[in-house]
Amino acid sequence: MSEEKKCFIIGIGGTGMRCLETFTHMCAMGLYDGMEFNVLTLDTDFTNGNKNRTENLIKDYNNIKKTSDSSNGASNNDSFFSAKINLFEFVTDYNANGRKRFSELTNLKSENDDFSDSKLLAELFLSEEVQNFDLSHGYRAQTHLGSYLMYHAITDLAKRLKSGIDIKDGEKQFEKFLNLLYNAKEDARVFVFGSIFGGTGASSIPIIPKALNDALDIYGDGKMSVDKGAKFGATLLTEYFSFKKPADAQKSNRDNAIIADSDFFTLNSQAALQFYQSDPTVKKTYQKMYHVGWPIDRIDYSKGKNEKETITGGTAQKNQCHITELICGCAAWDFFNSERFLSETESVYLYKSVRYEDNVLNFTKDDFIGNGEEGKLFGKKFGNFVAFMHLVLTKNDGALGHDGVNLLLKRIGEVTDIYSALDQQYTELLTKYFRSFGYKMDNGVFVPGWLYQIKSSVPGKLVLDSTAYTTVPKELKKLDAGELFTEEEFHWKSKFIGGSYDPFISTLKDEDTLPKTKQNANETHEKFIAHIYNSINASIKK
Amino acid sequence: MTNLLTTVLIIQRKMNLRDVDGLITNTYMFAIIASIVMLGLAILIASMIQFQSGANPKDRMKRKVWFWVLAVLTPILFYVYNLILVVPNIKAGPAMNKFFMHSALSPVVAFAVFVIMGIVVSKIFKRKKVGNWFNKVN
Repeated sequence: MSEEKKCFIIGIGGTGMRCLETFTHMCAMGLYDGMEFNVLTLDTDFTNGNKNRTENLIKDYNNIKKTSDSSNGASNNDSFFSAKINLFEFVTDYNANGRKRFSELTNLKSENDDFSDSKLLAELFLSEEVQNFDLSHGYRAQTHLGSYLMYHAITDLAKRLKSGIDIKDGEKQFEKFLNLLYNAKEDARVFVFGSIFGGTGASSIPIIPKALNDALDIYGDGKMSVDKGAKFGATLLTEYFSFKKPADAQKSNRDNAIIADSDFFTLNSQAALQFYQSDPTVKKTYQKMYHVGWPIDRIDYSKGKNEKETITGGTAQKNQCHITELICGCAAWDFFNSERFLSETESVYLYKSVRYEDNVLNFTKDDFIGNGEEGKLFGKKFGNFVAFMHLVLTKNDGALGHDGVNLLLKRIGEVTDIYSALDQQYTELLTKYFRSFGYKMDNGVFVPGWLYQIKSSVPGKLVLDSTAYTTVPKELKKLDAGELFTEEEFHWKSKFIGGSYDPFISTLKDEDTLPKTKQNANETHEKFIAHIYNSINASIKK
Repeated sequence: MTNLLTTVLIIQRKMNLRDVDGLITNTYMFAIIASIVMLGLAILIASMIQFQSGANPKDRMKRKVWFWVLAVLTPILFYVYNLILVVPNIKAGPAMNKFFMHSALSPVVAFAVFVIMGIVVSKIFKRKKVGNWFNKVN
């Protein structure tokens, strides 16, 4: 294996999309310094709210990084927004006529003979309801059907890509992804995000390595394949949320005869884990599998919402983020940054536990990507980015609709004009990104972004002091971005009166905080972000 | 310090025309010293004004305002000093006539020195808070 690894990430289904959301924020924190990722979003439902939210977030990330010669910028070192993300989308499109249900996709409907081999085989494995429900909102926890259909969708597209006939623009993205995977040869590292208790993700994780390999085989006319040296990893994320139980009235419709019932998620997880432990194909194709579980009360996605029916997918499925998804993001970090167990011939199952006592689950900086130096790295990157968020949203009113980034830029503009080329469109985009990461105030109402959603799922401490996550406007006004940690050693230099903001701005205006060559910040906006990064680092008490 | 002692000694008796030349030199030196002291005060005040956050920070304007307030106060205070402490000790007549023009001119010098030094300090330390004195408020 050469030194340069080629990183691929596949996010599948609603949970996979939210894991990708976390992964994107980890890239923004600078946890994937200097790396480049080819990210594929894979779903059955192109209207899915979580999918669109994640893709829009990645598009915003890429627009923040955009340079004169690349639509998604370059990778930088030791900075925020330092990883380069190439986004590819693939939707199995079950919305078109004649593709809505299993019976239509497989032509079973048009077969006249009730005892044909195909019909009998289908009936053996799939009930009539399963053969006829609407697939456009995913596989609805019917993984036996889902695995079959996802494999079919991928290989079917490979056939069409090979023929070159009737290829949609979106499908060409998958072709690019396949070619990149092929060209990566033994340097390819592929990580799959998805749950094992639901529908789309649970159906796809077991078949993805084989489906990609077979797709390459078809596309390359037998001359292409995923290299044997390529490494695969995945999350085995068991149940951590629930939602409204489907009512009989909703299920009376043929399209909705099958609806995932979260009461069965525990059972689904158990069955899936048994499968992963015993299936020879999975054990052979994946080198590392990260088992992520949630030991306490599941989050109820229907709570507080006046849902008449169970949401099966579509634009309405825009679920909150959860700490388990951050743990999945950290599993990906381990996969891409550690050589441990990558040479194993059979899957290695990894897990890490966190202390749960008296109904409190405390997460320290050492509970994510490792302790020691890795824990320090996580604490620094996480804490610094949250501080940047508070500087933009809380101290400079970005949450209230002002352009908080522009106000910080103006401070540097008092002493140098090196960033004068940055326009308002850029600063507004960065402020918008922070609103999706942190929070915004909408007519005086606190609207949580990713960070606050994650925090609300943790019944205890999440790396920083609890005051760092306050949602009370009065407390937010008093919040000091330099005192987010409980531990004083991570506090910023501060004054007795006025806290750390005044010394921070002095540091921001200091020549020592200008971007360094090693940060590979060549364009004006990259330099600006590196400058803020350096200023935050320099503000920490040594 | 020597200048100050000389002046104190001079003003203990009414000065005549012969003493005025020395007094004029001292007055201009005092004007420069006064502007340096006032500039020091302006630097101190500028440093004490905290950087403000939010959509409409007022700190830059505060520093500018304080600079110009002290710039205006410097000649006024110096003129008042001359008027109260120096002029009453000069004999009326040619000595007074000779000093009168300089007592009016020295505050102008104090003002000019304050502003010129302010610009120099502000440009040298443009990354510090005093840098706000002469940069554009946006």
